[in-house]
Parts: sequence; C-alpha cells; structure tokens
Amino acid sequence: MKLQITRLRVEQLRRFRAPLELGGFEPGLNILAAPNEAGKSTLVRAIRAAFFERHRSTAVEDLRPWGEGSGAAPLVELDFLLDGQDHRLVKSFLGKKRCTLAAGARAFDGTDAEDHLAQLFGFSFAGKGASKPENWGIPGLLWVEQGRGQELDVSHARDHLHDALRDPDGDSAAALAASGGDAILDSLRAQRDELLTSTGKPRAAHAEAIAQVAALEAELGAIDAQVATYRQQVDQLAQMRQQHQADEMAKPWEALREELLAAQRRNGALQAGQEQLRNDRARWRQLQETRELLAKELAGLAHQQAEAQTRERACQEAATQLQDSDAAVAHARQNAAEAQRRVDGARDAWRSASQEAQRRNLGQLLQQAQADAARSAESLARAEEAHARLAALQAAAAAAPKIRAGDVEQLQKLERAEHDADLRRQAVATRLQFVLPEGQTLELQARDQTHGLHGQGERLIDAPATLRLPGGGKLVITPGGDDLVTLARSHADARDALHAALLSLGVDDIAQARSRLGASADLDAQIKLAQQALGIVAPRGLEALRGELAQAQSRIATAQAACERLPVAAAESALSIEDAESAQQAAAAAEQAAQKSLADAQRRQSAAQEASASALRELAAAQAALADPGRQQRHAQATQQWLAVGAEAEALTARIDQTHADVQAARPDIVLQDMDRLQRSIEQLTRSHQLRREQLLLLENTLQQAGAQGLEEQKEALAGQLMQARRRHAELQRRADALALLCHKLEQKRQATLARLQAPLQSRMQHYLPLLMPGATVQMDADLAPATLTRINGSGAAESGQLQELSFGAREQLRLISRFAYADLLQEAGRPTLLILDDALVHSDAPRLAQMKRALFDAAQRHQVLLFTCHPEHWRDMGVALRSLA
Amino acid sequence: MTRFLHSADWQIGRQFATFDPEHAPILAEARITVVERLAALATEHRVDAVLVAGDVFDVQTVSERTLRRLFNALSGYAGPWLVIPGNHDAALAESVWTRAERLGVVPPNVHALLVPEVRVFESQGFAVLPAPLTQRHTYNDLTAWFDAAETPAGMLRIGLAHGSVQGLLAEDIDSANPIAPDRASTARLDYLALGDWHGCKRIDARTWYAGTPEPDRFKDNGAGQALLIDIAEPGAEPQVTPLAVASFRWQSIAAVLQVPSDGHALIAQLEHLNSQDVADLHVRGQVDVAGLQRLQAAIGRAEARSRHLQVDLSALRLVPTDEDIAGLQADGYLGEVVQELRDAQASPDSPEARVAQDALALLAAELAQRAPAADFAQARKP
Repeated sequence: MKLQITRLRVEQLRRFRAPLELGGFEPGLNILAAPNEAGKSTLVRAIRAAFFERHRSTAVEDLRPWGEGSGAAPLVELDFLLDGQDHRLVKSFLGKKRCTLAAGARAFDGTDAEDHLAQLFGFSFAGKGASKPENWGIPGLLWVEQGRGQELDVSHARDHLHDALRDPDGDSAAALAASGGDAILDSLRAQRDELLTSTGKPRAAHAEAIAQVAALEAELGAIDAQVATYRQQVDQLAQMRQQHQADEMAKPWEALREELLAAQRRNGALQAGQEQLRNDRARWRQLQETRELLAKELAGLAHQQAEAQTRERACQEAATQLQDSDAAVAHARQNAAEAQRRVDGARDAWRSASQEAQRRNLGQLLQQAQADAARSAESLARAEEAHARLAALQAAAAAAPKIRAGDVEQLQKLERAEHDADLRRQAVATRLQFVLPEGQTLELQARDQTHGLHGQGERLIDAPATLRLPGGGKLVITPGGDDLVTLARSHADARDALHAALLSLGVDDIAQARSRLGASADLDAQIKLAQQALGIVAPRGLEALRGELAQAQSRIATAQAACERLPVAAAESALSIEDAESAQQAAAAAEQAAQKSLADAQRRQSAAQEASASALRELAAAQAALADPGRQQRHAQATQQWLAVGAEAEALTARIDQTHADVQAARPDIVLQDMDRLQRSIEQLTRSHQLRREQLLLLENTLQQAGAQGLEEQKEALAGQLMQARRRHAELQRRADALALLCHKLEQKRQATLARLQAPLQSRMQHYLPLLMPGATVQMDADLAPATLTRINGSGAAESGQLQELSFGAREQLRLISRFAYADLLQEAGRPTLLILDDALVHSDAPRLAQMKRALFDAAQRHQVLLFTCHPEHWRDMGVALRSLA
Repeated sequence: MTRFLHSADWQIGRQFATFDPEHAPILAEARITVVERLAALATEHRVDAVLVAGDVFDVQTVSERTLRRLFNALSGYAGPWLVIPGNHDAALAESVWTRAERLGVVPPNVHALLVPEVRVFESQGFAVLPAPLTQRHTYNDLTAWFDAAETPAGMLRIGLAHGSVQGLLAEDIDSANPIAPDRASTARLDYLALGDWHGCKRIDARTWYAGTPEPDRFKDNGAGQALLIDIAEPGAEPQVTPLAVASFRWQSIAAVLQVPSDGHALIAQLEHLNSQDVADLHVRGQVDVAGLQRLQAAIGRAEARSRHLQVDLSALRLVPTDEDIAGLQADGYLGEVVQELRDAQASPDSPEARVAQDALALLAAELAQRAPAADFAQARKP
C-alpha cells in the first residue's frame, strides 16, 4: 500500500500557537532542515500523537502550547494518499477532543477513526495512559525518534513482520505459528529440564527415581540373600537333626566298644602266648648251652683217644723219616766229593788255557811293538828331515836382511816425494837442452859440481850454473824463480831422505828393497810350508816321536822278556780260555750246590732225629692219659646227659615252633592297630555326636532369631516398593523421552521455519548492506533483528561480531538500513510504510554518511521519507530541495 | 451325621505390596477377617471340625504379630481345627509351625497335623488321614499311604491333602506334588479335602477343592468360598454346600477399544465398580484424544470408588483424529510436528511409536492449555 503524506497542519501545538502548514510533500525523500529549537521534533511529535494518542487521551499535556491554559486544543491535520485514495485525519486534544478520518468516501469518527487508523497502519492503542512502545507497531519501527536510531526493538512489530514474511499465498506451514509456538516450546523445555540435564542425563526427580530403584534392588538383593541363608539353614537343621537322630538310635560307638573289648581280649591272649614263647626260648637256649658243654666234654674225651693214635702214627713216621734223612746225607756227601773233583779239574784246564792265551797275547804284543818301533823310527827320520829343512830355511831367513812391507812402502813414498820434488824443481828449473856434435863437450858447473855435457840431452838448472864454452867463454845461467831454491832444497831433502832410508834398510834402491821383500816373503812362505810339513809328520813334535820310539822299543823288550818267562806250552788243552772259564764256573757252582745240599741233608737228618725223639715222648704221654681210670666214668656220664638234653630240646623246639606259628597267624601287630583304631573311632564318634548336639542348639537359636524377623514379609513389602519405584521410573522415563523428542522436533522445525522466514529479510538486508560495508553479511536473530555482523578483515579472513558491540555510529547505520529492509518487506505485504528520521546519522563520519545517503536515496525510491535535520549542509546532495519550517 | 467346614489356602502374611500402599493393608487385613468369618460360620453351622487343607501361611517367616493374629482369629470356633502344612508353609525342621509352638500361640483345639499318620477323633466320630508337606519341594504323591492306612471301624475316613490332582489341573497350579485322581476311592475315603487350587472346584463326589476364602488373584475361578460338608454315615455320599465368605470381588477387565462406543461400554463398566471390587484393567486398541480424556476421567472416578483398581494402558494407542488435530490449532511448525508424531505411530509396536504417542499427548495437552491465546491469530488478518 503506497502511502504519501501530502499536507501537515498543526495548530496550538507547543510553539506553534499559530498554525503551521506544510504541503507539497514528495512521494519519496523529503528533507526538512531547520536550526535547533525550530520545532522539528515538535512536528514529529505531532504526527506521532495524531496516530498513537487517542483524542481523549489525558497523557498529551506536552502538546499544550506554552503558557496556554485549559482552553488550548492542540490540533493536527494530516492529508495523505493511501493507494491513491485521499485521506484526511483531523485530531484535536485536550480542550477540544475530536478525531475524524475521511477515507475517500467513508468517514470515521472518534474511536472508530482511531481504530481504523490503527488497523491500517499496524499499531495499537494503550489501554489507559500514554501510548507506549509496545503499542507503536509498524510505525514505531519505522519512525525513528531523535537520538534513538541506534536502538532497534523489533518485538512490538514482530507479528506484523511475521505476517509480512509469510508466503504470499498464505501457506501456513511456512509461517511461525504466532508467538504461541515459542511459548509452548518454552513451556515444554521447562518441563523437560525438570527431568533432564542439558546433556540429556536424568536429574532431580527422574534421577531420584533411578536411584530409588537401584537402592531398592540392592535392599531386595540383601533380603533375598538373607532369606536364602535362612532356608539353607533350615535345610541344614533338618539334615543335622536326622543325622543326630540316627546316631542316637544306632549308637555306633557301642558296637565299636564291643569290638574293642574283643580286640583287647585277643590281645591279652596273644600277649600270654608271647610270654610263653619267650620263656620257652630262654629255656631252649639254656639247653643249647648245656648241650654244647657236654659236647665239648665228649669231644675232649674222644679227642684223647684220637690223640694217642695220632701220636703212634707220628712216631712211626718220624722213624721213617730218620731213615730217609740218613740215606740222603750219605748221598749228598758223595755228590759233594764228586763236585769237588770236578772243580779241580776245571781249574787246571783253565790255567793251561789261560797260559796259552797269555802266550799268544805276548806274541801279538811283541809284533805290534816292533811294528810300532819301525813306524816310529820312520816317522822320526822324516820329521828330522823336515826339521832340518825348516831350520835351514829359518837360518836363511834370519840371515837375509829383513825388510818389511811397511818399509818398502815408506821407500816408495819417499821416492815419490823425491820424484815430485824433482818434478817441481824441474818445472821451475831452467831446462837446458843440448845437442852437441860428436866430440864436443861442455862443462856445466852448478853447485860446485861439474857436469860434462855431451851428445844429446837436457839438464835442469836450478841453481846458478856456469856453462863453460869451448873456447873459454862462459855462460852463467841463473834460473829464475824464488822458490827455486826452496824447491831445490826440498828436492835435495827428499833425496836425502830417500837415500837415508835406503841406507837404513840396507838396500840400494827400491827395486832391491822390493825384491828383498819379495824374497823374504817367499822365504816366509817356504818356512810356513816347511813348518806345515813338519807338523804333519810330527804333530806333537820330534821329542814326542822320539819318545814313542823309545816306548815301542821298551815294549818290545818287555814282551820279549815275558815271553821268555812263560812256561812251556802244553800240548793238549785245545780249550779256549772262555770255555775253560765257564767250565770252571759251572764246576764251582755245582760244587757249591752239592755242598749246600749236603748241609741241608744233614740238617734234615738232625731234625728227623729230634722229631723221632719227641714223638716217642708224646706217645708215651698219650697212652698214659688213656689209661686213666676216671675217664671212663666221665665219658659215660656225659653221654647220658647229652641224650637227655637233646630230647628236651627237641620237645621244646616243637612247642616253640607251634606257639610261634600261632602267634604269627594271629597278627598281633594288626590286633594292636585294631585296638588303636577302634579307640580313636570311638572317641571321634562320641565327640562329633556331642559337637553336633551343640551345633543343633546353635542353629536352632539362630533360626529362631531369624524367623522372628519376618524376613519374607519384609521381602514382599520391599518387592512391592520396588515395583512401584520401577513403575514411577518408567513413567518418568517415558515422560522425559517424550519431552525430549518433542522439544527436539519443535526446535528443529522452528529453526527451519525461522530460516525460511528470514530469507526475504536477509536478502533485503543484503541489498543495502554492501552499500555500507562491502563484503559484509549480517545474521538475523530469532526476533528478526540483526544480531551478528560478519566482515572480511584486512588479511582476508572473515570475522564476526555482535552488533551490540559495534560503535554508536555503526549501530545506528546498521539499524537504519535494517529499517529500510523492514519497510521494503512490509510494503510488499501491503502495509503503508512511512519512514521518519529525526536528526539521524549525526555520529557518522563523512565516508559512512555518504554511503548511508546512497542507501537512503535508494530506499526513498520506494517509501516516503521525512528527514528532519539541523545540518542542511550534509544533505544538499540528495537530489531534493531542502525545505525549511517557515 | 457329621458336619465339616472345608477351607484352604488362607495365605496369611501376604502383603499385596505391589498394590497401592493405601489398599494393600486392607486387602491383607481382609485375609484375617475372613478367617474370623469362617470361625463364626463354623460356630453358626455347628460343624464337628474345620478342615484347612494347607497354605495357611503365605511364607514361613511371617511376623510374630501376624502369627498371633491368625491364631487369635481361630478363637471364634471352639471345636477342632485340623490344619496341614502346604507348600508355602511346609513343615520343615524350622518352620512357621515350630515358631508358633515356641511362641505358644497355638490353642489346644488347633491340631497342626505335621506327620502323615492317622488321627482319630473319637467323640466326633471320624479319623483324619493327613498328607502334610514336609519339604520345600515335593514331587511324589504324599497321599499314597492313605490306601493302606487302617482306621477304627465305624469311623469316617477323612483325607486332608494339598497338591494338584493329576491330569485335571494343568496350568496355574502352585505346587508340583501330585495327587492321584482316584485317591478317594482307592483309600476308601468318605471325603478328601484338598487345597492348593485357589478356586472352589469339584473333582468328584468325594473330592473337592475349597479354594481360598478370600480371593487373592484376579483370575475368576470361583475363589472366595468355603465348603460345608455333611456326611450322614461312613460310606454315604457327602452333601457339599459352597458358602460365600469373601469380602471383596476380584476381577480382571480386558477391554479392546476400536470404535468410540467400545470406550463408552468400558466406561459404563467402570462406573459399576464399587468398594467391594478389586480390579485389574488392561486396555488395548486405539482411542482419540477426547476418548482418552473421557477414559482417564472414568478411570480416576473408578479408582476412587473401588477398593483397588490397577490399570495398564500401555497397549492403548492414542490416535488423534483430524478434528483433534484441527482442534489443537497447531499451525505453522507445530502442525508439522503433530503430523510427524502421528506418522511415527504407524508401526504401533516399535518403541518409537510409544515415545511419539506420549509426545503427541503432551503437545496436545499444551495446546489445549493455550487455546485461549489463539484468538490473537485471528485478529491479525486485515
């Protein structure tokens, strides 16, 4: 519904005592610029009062013109076009309370007019008193009072907005079901939160119900256990009673006592038997001893008898032996003599053999000695020869003058020195060469020497020399050079030295020295050879050889002497000395043996004699004993006793065996065990019987006490409580589940609807928002007011913040463009939309203000805007003329 | 002419703890009260003896007070009370009977027959052959010795046993111990008084179950009675007269709701419950919102009126009709949620269906509360 205010007239309204009329309003933007205190806000108030305040309202005192009394009647007239139809609203207050509305052909009066207006424009009237924000509805949203632009309370116009946001074909599914839906949701939520925590866990009564169930279950479990124990004990009681009863009847220990007595009797019998056995055995042992003694005695007697016989035999034997030994002695003596003879023979043989051997030996010796002597003589001769030779050589060597190699070397050295000195001299010396014809001779006089020169040759002149020329002239040659003298001297020294050496050595020249050296060397060599030869022949020396020779000769003499001493050789005895020796040894051994056996035989003989004598003595004694008269008697006695004892022993043995067998068969050890076992069993049975009696008393007592507790009644009561607790829990659970499901579904749906609902609003916001903040988006909250702003910050990331936290200026801007969006939506829904901005955007900086003006201009294409400002300079670029209030 | 009163299965000591704590004591008390009534009846009808065929007590360890109260309740009849232990109160080495003996609460006219041997009551002219249970679990026929038992000539042979007659009562029987179905004839009994089956039941002319005098189960099997037996002479057929002695009526109501009229019928039934009724209600099927509200209201009223009413609606599906949904005035996303919850109940047995049903019920309740606020939605339209 397109709304356009065309004319406004106020009278007797605050400062406007006289009427003020403004007409010619534009369908879009209208800017009224006036200084402060010019009455801009009064006009806004007038418009608001014309709509919001009942004409009969008493809360409009502020409209009264200043200083006027009760007669004042503030008047407001408003002409507007609504969808092309003329409307005129005339309202006066206080002094004259009137209201008329002419809507085309229709006329409304008073309250009807006001109600019609309210319905048209989407607001309501206060019940009594002044009109309040909750009454202002759509106009309250779109008419921004001074300094209130940054606030935005959509709640009072929300239903209108909801209606506006509904689908055009009125599809109820897309609309939020009034505010009733939210109230229902809140109520259900509250009910749910009574039973569940925010995370869906049971709480309060619900949790208590669960706890109660658990507690009762535990109690019931405990009681069940007690009942079970009780029953078990009852059963135990029955069993024990039965057993006790049985034992009381049967008295098993009695039977055992009988058995025990029997066993004891048996034991007694057995013990008696054993006693007897012991006695018998003792007696039997006694008898055995007696028997032994008797046996000994009898044996002794018998022994005597035997003894005598033995002695006799021994006597005989001894005699026999004596005879034997005598014979043996004779025999042995014979043997000994024989052996002696043999020994002697052997000795003789040996002697002759040895003599023969000796003889041979000596012969050999002699031969050998002779050979040795010959050899020695030969050697000696050779050795002497060598020796002589050697001596000759040595004499020669001694005779020869000695010269050493060193000396020769020294000579050589000196010769060389001399030679060098000579050369040096010669080099320096003046050389005089001469070639003289035959027969010519020159005289050279130098150093007081005169030399005759002839033929060809050269002379060194190293000292002033005079050469006499034939014919009486002379040449005096004085060699040059300083050191010529020195050199000559040195040369002379050297020569002297050499001569001295030669002299000392006794040679004429070096050659001689050398040859002498050589000769001496040869001589030495020869001497060595001769020595060697001597050594070979006479290693130990001549004397040794001589000695040997002498020895050999003496040996010869000895051997010969010995040979002579030897007796004449016997013709026989071809025995070798070894054979003879061995034979002799054998014979000697045999002789010894024979002697020994003779000695043995003699000893045996004497022993036999001794034995024979003693045997005879013993025989005599034994026979004497036998003849003893008492002996017979003793023998008879002993024999008798022996028999008696034997019989008794036999009888006793039989009885013992019998008794023993009996006792063994009766197993006394087992009988003892039986007694022990029975004794213990009896004890045990009586004791356990007694114990059981005590236990029965105890159990009966326990059961009496337990029975008195009325356990099963308690259990039933508990079971009942548990069942009810469970039922309550189930109910609460069901309720909680249902509430949770319901809340969940409702919230889900509501959210979805809200999102759908907000879509058109969101898109209208996005129409304006980029003009102010490019790239930003704003999210509406459930109340359809802008809540969150999301912008791209410097680094390109999106950051969100609450609108509430923005600055004053930004809030005013955002909330203003929200109103533009609301106005667009409301207009689409067919609502009249008029925007009144009283002194808006005063806190916006220049760039933002420019942006807002663009948005405002755009909005003004669709809605009539009345903009009141005291800053006309800010609003010159809006494409409309600024009006003043004149 | 000998006259007996036959009862059994008193189950004294039963607490009904699963019931509401307000009702349970009353029901427990009723069990003692009915014994007093039995005593009064016995005196009124001048019976020669009262036969109690087992399960006098529900558990062995009843409280001392209960014990005393029970034996006090017997004081209304001075003649012999012949009691045998059943499976709940078997004569074990230590049992409720030994406790009672120790406490000295057993009056002299109360004969607890704890051993299986003949007891002769000369002056009354009968011999009783009891088959007491002496073990916690018995699997053999304890009445077998009846056949060979001798009683003095000219006396009635009365059998007293506790167990299940072979071949006749297969299900729901308490104990295992069997009783031959022809025991009365093989043992030449004039009457065999049985216990264990809680309903009053005739086995044959001489063999009866008296049932429990005060019902304790919802199953309707003729419980709440005692039997008056008249036997003219040994060998004569007994004349058996059931007497109603119970205080309360126990019943089980199983309802299936398919159409709204089923709900009405059920509600009518519920309206008839009074303070004598102990009822167990199981409802299954489906119901709409209004139907459920009506049903719940009726249940509330019936609960207040009856002695005890326990209700199980778990198998009842809440299926809101379209009108219900429209009536909820749930538009927008609320409506969508309602639809989803309805769809989730498509498979009725899954746990999701249960939760969805509960959720829908909650949502419906909320919406119903807020119905007045919905007129604002109407005012908006231009």
